[in-house]
Amino acid sequence: MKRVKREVSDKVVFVLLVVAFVISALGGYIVYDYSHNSGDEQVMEDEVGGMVILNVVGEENSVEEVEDNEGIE
Amino acid sequence: MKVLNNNGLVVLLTVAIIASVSGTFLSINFIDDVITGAATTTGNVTITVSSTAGCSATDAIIAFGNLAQNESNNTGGANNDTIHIANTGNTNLDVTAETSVNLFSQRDAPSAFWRISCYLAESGSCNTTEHNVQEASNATSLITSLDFNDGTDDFNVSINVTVPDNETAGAKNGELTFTCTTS
Repeated sequence: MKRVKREVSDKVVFVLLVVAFVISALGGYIVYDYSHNSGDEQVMEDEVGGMVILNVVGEENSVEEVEDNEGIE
Repeated sequence: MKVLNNNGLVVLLTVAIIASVSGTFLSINFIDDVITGAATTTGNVTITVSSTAGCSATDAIIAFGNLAQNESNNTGGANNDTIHIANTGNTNLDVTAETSVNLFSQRDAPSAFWRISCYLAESGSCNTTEHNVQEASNATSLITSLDFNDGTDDFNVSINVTVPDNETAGAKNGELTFTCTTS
């Protein structure tokens, strides 16, 4: 018995055509976007550190409290 | 002439989809290599130089040595042991300062016992008024529009400290973070 080869329906062909169009358009956009943005990264901020060191000499502890900023100009 | 049936169209469309996807990836992966070649006539080259904010600190550690309780010292003026910050990028900068580690155990920032200011800038608007060193949420502006050109791209940071009279004796270490942002 000879086997009958089934033909793909028109709907399937149409769906594949739409998929091919979308993928093609998307690929074109990706390449366009990449070529226009690559190497254009901007660095807007940087940070560096500093340090202040000192050695407090004198009484080990003072029980006298001071008000905020008292005596400081 | 033989008419192509739907089966043939499906095969062709599948090949087109695969070619499209492959072409996209190849373009992205090899775009830098492809944009080369020999020219036999006049050509124009257009490039975009990215804006980069960068800064560096030299002499970043200020050592006041021994100080007694209630004693003060500052790094500006005659003492002139300042933190030197340079604009190393290619855009003008605004620079702020904040503390990440408090200098005194008895006085958290902000307090008048640890103050900061801009001192001797080559360009920009230098904020020479002393301000209490702040926590990160309220950083102090030291300078705005610091230029990036060599010769006019740096400034100094002055520190003024007063040891609280209830501060315990011993070594103290305060850390500052300078944030350089594009103007």
